[in-house]
Amino acid sequence: MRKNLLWAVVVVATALLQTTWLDAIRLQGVLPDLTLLLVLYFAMFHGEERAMFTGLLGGLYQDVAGNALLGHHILCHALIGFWVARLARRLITEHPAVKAGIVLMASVVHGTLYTGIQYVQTPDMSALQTIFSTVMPGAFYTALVTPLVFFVLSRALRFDEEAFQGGQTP
Amino acid sequence: MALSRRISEHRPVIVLLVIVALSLVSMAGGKRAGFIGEGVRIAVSATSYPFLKAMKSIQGAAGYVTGLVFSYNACRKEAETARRKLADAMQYAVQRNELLQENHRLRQMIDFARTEQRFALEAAEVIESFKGATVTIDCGSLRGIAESMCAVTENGVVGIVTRVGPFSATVVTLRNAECRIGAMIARNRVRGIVQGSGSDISPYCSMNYIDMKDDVQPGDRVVASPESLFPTGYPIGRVVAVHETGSLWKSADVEPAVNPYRLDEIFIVRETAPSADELAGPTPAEPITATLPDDRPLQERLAP
Repeated sequence: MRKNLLWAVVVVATALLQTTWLDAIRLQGVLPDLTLLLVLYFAMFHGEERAMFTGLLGGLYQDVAGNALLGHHILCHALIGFWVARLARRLITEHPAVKAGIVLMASVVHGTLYTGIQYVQTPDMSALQTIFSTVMPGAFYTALVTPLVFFVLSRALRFDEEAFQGGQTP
Repeated sequence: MALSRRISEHRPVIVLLVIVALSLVSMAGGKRAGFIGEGVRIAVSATSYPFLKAMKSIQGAAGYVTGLVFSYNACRKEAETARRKLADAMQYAVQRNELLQENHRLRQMIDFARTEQRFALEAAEVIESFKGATVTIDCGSLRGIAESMCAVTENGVVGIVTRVGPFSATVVTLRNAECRIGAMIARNRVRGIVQGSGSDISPYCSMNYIDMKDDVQPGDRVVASPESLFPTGYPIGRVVAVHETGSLWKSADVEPAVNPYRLDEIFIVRETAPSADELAGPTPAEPITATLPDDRPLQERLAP
């Protein structure tokens, strides 16, 4: 119960940060995706179920806060969380650069997926331009802050690290 | 049993499929906010409000502090610019007030020149004033000004032109002891001579040579007499005090109608229309009858 509560607090707080204070570090209109980072963190260290539920909660928050279609962020986060969790099982290294590389790749895939869904909804948008002008720099920015965010998350969740281990579901 | 085991084995995939399915259904519905979304949105707004407020406050404080450090020069320049603009604006306001007052005075002068048909007037600007006793005006002989011409304003007598140059002239005012004007009390035409006090302290001039039997009261209007250079009846001032000297004459303190200290523009009377007495000419004298000496003999003069 305690770990679930802590998990929920962390997810909601991260989503809050993403939708409010993160504007302060916006560079050239590009923001790091903290919620996605959280999903990837749980995907890499706690399994796909935790990652998907993180994506569900965080994505729900982002959809509501950003007035997007309900399910848009959720779908992307859940898919990416599942995929990265499956991928992370095969990793044989803990090197931070590798994790940052995975985050970069996952961010690009996530952004492309998000833009693709958006393109289906509004075909008159320029999907390629959005990918190159927003998704790619955003993915790079997200990958850049990965070590810091992962370090903070590991510190914040260290008391329940053992409980989180093993892919236990909320 | 086997089904539950299979479900347990593939739970992540099932969860994924459920989430994906729900998301797709929700997106296919095309609603941005259903009843769930609305409730969640309210909760999100409520929870994010303190964060947003805190962020605004922190941003404001940070901006203020960094502004103190980094924008010091800009602020100083801005303050200097503002100060300069304020000084310009104040100067402009003073100039505007001055122009308004000048406009008002000139309008009064124009009205006076239009209504006063008895005189040919020459407007002049005071360019220098020495203690109010002597003023220099900006027109001289080239504009027809001559010595002994009268200087007036629409309120009354100013003084007399004493020195004339080509471009300027000097007027002695009723503050100057050398200025003497034939005057009379408007109420009963009692004559006297108004003379400047010559004092820097007293604002009054004196009316001298008033017969001790004549009636002069404080408050009487003093005007130019027919014997003076000034147009008859033109206001000089008002009696404020009468002094009995114990001799054959008495004197009175007169407050001039025009304060020479406050002169900016004056009129010089170049020509005065003749009065009715002058137009009528002198009264015919008695015919002169010369009495010739009687040269008849005494007998003839005395004969019956």
